[in-house]
Amino acid sequence: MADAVESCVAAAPNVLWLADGDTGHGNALAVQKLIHAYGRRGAAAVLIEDKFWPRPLGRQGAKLVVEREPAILRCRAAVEACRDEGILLLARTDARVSRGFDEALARIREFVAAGADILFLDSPQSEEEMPTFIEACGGKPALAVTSPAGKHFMPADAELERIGIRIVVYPQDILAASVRAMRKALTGLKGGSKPPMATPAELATAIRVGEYLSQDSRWPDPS
Amino acid sequence: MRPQAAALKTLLDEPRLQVMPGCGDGMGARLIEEAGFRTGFVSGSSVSAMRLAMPDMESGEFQRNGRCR
Repeated sequence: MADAVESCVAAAPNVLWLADGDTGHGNALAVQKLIHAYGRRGAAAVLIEDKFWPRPLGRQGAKLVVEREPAILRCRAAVEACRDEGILLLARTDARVSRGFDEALARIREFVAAGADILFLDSPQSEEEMPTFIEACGGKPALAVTSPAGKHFMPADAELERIGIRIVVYPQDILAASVRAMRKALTGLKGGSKPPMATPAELATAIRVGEYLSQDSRWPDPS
Repeated sequence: MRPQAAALKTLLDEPRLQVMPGCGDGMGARLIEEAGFRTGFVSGSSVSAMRLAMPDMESGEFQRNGRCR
């Protein structure tokens, strides 16, 4: 995952990157090691959540979280590492579905107290829960994630902005568009209709050929 | 604070919504920048999907394939 962070930062250095740290994959020291790894590779912020790790199997993908105290400990370790690294921490709780809104809200307040810079309460279930979550952030920016499966309450962008959400993440749009486009291209190769594709010029822009050629011309090999 | 973190903090102090697309590889990242987005998300599930065509399950195999660090 750290190499994926490095690739994205290198490909798009002008974008400010949030890197997905999941649970931190272990104890407090593992969380800190992961944050340092992402920070060194150019992430502006790292997401750490309070799910169990390793993920318990046989639960139909349920979002199971650690108890509140270990969740706070994990957050404190993450805050310390982010401060050392000079980056921001996004603290996420997944407690809403398995433990209820009050527990999720209590965790958000604890994460704010621990020094988290950005907050995310996963899967709010009603219109009323979102402003309550934002209020619990105590002035720190609140984030929302769209659900492709539509499993939780999610207003449109304009409404999110109106109630005070500062970031809305669309995690799957590029992935879903890519899968559809690749399938269509391959169907075309099997004799089906050819879908519209990027022109050679569009491809050259995407891979920044111009930038490379301008560097290339500065360093001609002596003949 | 690193410059990219300070820039993100400043951006989030503005009372506006930032739309943050997720991606899993360099091309997705590059096109996010080309489209003019200020922020992006390196999504674990997108990395897993684009690289291994697998769900984001933190499986041992995926970690051996470089997911963790």
